Amino acid sequence: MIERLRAGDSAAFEPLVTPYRQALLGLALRLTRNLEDAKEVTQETFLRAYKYIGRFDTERSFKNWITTILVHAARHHYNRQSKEDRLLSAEPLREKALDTSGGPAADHENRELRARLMECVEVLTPREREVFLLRDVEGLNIRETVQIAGGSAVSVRVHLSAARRKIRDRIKIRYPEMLEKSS
Amino acid sequence: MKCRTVRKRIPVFVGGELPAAKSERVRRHLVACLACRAEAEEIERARAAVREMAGAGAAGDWSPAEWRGMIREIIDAPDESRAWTAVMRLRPAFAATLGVLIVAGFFLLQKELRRPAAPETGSFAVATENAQPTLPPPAPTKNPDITSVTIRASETGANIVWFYNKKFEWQGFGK
Repeated sequence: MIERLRAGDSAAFEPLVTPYRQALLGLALRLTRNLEDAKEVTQETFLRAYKYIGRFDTERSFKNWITTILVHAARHHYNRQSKEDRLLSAEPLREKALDTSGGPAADHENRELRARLMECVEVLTPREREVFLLRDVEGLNIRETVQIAGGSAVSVRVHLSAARRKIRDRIKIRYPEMLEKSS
Repeated sequence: MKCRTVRKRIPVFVGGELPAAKSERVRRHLVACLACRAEAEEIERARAAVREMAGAGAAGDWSPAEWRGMIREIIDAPDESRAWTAVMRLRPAFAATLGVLIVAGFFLLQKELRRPAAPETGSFAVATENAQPTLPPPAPTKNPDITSVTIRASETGANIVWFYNKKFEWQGFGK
């Protein structure tokens, strides 16, 4: 598929990226905490992937490559927003997160869980959020996390450690039953 | 290992990111220390809770029409970078051409410098008000102790000759 696209067959693009669209949108939503922003970031990701497919190293995983693009696009988006915008967008976050489900399978409990996750990651700094989501939510290993988020392995570990502690504290305060339930 | 050190390492320990030797020391401490073990279990349960929350599936999606529209938009978007990419792909060719030009220029310059210079028999320009006199090649002189300098006005054709002795002291002039 990648070779076809590189050869100029643009019809190969849609089947190439479709399997990743849900996962990428989900990650973008957790990074930006706003569905509109998430869609914008994901669209930007696909646009860049299409433009720069020639630079993709076929030795690497396509999923990791496109995830790297998404993380960078989200970071760029985040930096572009003014502090005021961020404060404004933080307010309707929970409501928007609850409103984002559309399919019949998305029941109330799932919506609530998604909203809880969004609320938990809200306490993290952008860098902590990136490494935490990549490692603990997306399930990437530490090397992949370093590759995608950038920086050193030590820096990733430090931010990951801080993020896990903050998330634990947040859950403990807001949803203590979740810590008890699993025990 | 002290509790304080272990507490710092617990979040990384539960994720399995701690190097093996340190991880083993933390594990041994946790076996013995109830408070630190409780801390580790709590962070581990928080991670499990996050996984549960994330397992609720993706939120939101494009409708099929929106999705196709977006893909079409991406494919049809004018791509300025492709032209630049094409240029960048030609970098080796540009570099090779530039290299050849530099080497050729170097040899031409060397050749030019080695070429015997045209006989410049003391020609020099003397600025005057109305003319730019030039010094013609010196006429063979019978007295080697006498040097003459002939200045000819290019406009009028008039000549003035100055004579100098061996020590380049002015001896007189003629026309």
